[in-house]
Amino acid sequence: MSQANQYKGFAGWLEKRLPIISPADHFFNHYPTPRNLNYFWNFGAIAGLLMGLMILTGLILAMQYTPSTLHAFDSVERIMRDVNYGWLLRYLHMNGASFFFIAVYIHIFRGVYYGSYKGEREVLWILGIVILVLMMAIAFMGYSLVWGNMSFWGVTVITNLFSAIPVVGDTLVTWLWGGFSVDNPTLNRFFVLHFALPFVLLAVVGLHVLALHQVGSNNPLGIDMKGPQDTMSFHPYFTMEKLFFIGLFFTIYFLVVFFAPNMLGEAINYEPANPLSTPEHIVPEWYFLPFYAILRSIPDKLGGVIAMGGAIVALGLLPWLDRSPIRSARFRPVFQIMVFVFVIACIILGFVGAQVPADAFQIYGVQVFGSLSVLRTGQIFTAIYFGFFVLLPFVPLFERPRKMPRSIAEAIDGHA
Amino acid sequence: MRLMKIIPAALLGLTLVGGASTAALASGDGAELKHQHWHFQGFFGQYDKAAALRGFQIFEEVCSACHAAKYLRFRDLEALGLSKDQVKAVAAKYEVDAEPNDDGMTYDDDGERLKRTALQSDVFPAPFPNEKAAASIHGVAPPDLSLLAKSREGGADYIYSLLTSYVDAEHLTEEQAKKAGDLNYNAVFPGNVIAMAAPLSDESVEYVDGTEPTLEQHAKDVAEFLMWVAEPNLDSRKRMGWAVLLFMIVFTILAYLAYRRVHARVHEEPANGPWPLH
Repeated sequence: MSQANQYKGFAGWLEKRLPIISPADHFFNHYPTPRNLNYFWNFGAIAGLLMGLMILTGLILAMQYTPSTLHAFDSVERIMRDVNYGWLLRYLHMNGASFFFIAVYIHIFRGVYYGSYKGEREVLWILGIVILVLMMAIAFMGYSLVWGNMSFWGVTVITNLFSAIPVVGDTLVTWLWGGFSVDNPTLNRFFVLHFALPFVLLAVVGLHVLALHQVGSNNPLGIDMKGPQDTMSFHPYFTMEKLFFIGLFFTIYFLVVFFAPNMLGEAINYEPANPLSTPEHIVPEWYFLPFYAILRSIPDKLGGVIAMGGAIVALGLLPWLDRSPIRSARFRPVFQIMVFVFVIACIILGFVGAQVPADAFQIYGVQVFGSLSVLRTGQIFTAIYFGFFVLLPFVPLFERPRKMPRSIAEAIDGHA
Repeated sequence: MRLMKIIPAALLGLTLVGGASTAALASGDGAELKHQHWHFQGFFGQYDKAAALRGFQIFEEVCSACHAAKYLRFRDLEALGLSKDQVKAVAAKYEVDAEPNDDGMTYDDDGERLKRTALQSDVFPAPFPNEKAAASIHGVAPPDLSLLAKSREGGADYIYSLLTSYVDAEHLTEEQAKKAGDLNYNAVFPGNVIAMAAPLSDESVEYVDGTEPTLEQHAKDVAEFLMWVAEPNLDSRKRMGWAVLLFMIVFTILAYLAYRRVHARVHEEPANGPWPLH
């Protein structure tokens, strides 16, 4: 590269020998960012920060953890009691997973609402879905490492799902387990994968950011940047905003870590794994509940597995299912309502996933749908979940978009 | 749409609440728990060390006859206010399996396990040598108590309620008596039939500090103790939490002011043409 070296002092010296100053400079200082971004555009950075925190705390926890059915639970308790600040590391890590998912789910909502998958952003979007799937796999295996009774039965139930696959199902499950039941080989390989996959995740996140910088950020108007009048420098304008919002987010995160660290977990997981004693209700961690609800809504095992997988695949297909040229839901009255209904369906499915199918559905003790059972509620909202994707291609046929400004600058300054 | 600016924060809260609903899953067919006020509750709550020590006395004199607490070490008791010498004295009352002697033996000539006096670093000795022996009396082994307060929905409230919700044989309805059979009836225990006979009653233990030895007092003290055994770092965790929160609040306010100030510069400039790209 014969580009003139514009950097002075040490930066210039290093750039001549190792070209890392210019990309960093471009990422922060020459990344034209839409002027009109709102707070929703902070969750990607927060998710990235949490990923770093998870890798760091996880690395140290792994130094103290023993991946063996005989010692796993004891080693976690040893971390909690005898390792200096081990309780802090572990509570940061286990609640970090929850807040990672909170950030990513809001990040995904932002993408759907403002149509961030359109305009040459298909690859960016698909990479995001790959990140979500990787996160789910990593979180699931991490939860198993505690080797509490919910860990054990959660792993048993979820890995058993693969047996629904015709012909090779049972063989596949035996292969996954490394034996004929969830046992030491299973725990061992889950530890290895839980340790290794985050670095794959890190690489995919790198690609995600690279793709973002290739296309540029979407914005609440969903209109492309047309020139410098539409943009601001990423640094310091958005770095400062992110710093503030990160402070806000981490205040809530630390509130949970220090004052209610077990709020999001299941009590029964403080009992060691016991293959002879099944917990009364086997429930996954909260961030899997909507998908678990979809799984249970289909009476057929294979059908349920396909629906659960399809729920994520459908998200990945959004760039091709949504045929409207307009991105932001702000200008799409029908799509806007659909997105809100979709979000409500996801939340209700979350409640469904935590309850016993035969009981009457309730939210905090209130039977919001009368005596409608949990199973039926789950089926109705599973239908709504998929209905969103089925209806989507047809919306442009009858939707009358709202009037749009011609540019970002016009929307803010009143003139282009 | 100012609304979309507020929604992220609202969503954050909502997601949290939604997540918490998992934990709020009904705890089974037991009766309503008797909610107590606990010293360690809330933002500023810390353990009542005197109560936890009384609880330890109950654990020592009553519970430990059948229940182990495998994560409790004698030295941990220092956190409840005992001195090193007092901890030593407590440990000295117990014997644990000895390490191999000079001949490399762990059993004496009669086949008896060699023992030695317990040290502060030892785990509180279990009442039974293994699960099978522990299960020999009731058919099921009495659960280890070190994490009970965390592994049961309701925690200390559950332990307190369980210990105070036994129904005497003469007060049982015919149906309840039939259900209980040879075992015991408890209004709070899931399924109501519990193998453990009512372990505590008024004056089960004579308190050294002169506290009134009622059943309720015993149950409350032992629950406080078991919570401490399950989560011994709660006090220091919360203390660190206040410092962290205070820091985060100041940091966030400063970051907000800095962010507003940087953006204020932008609002002064638009007339001067292009937005600053550097």
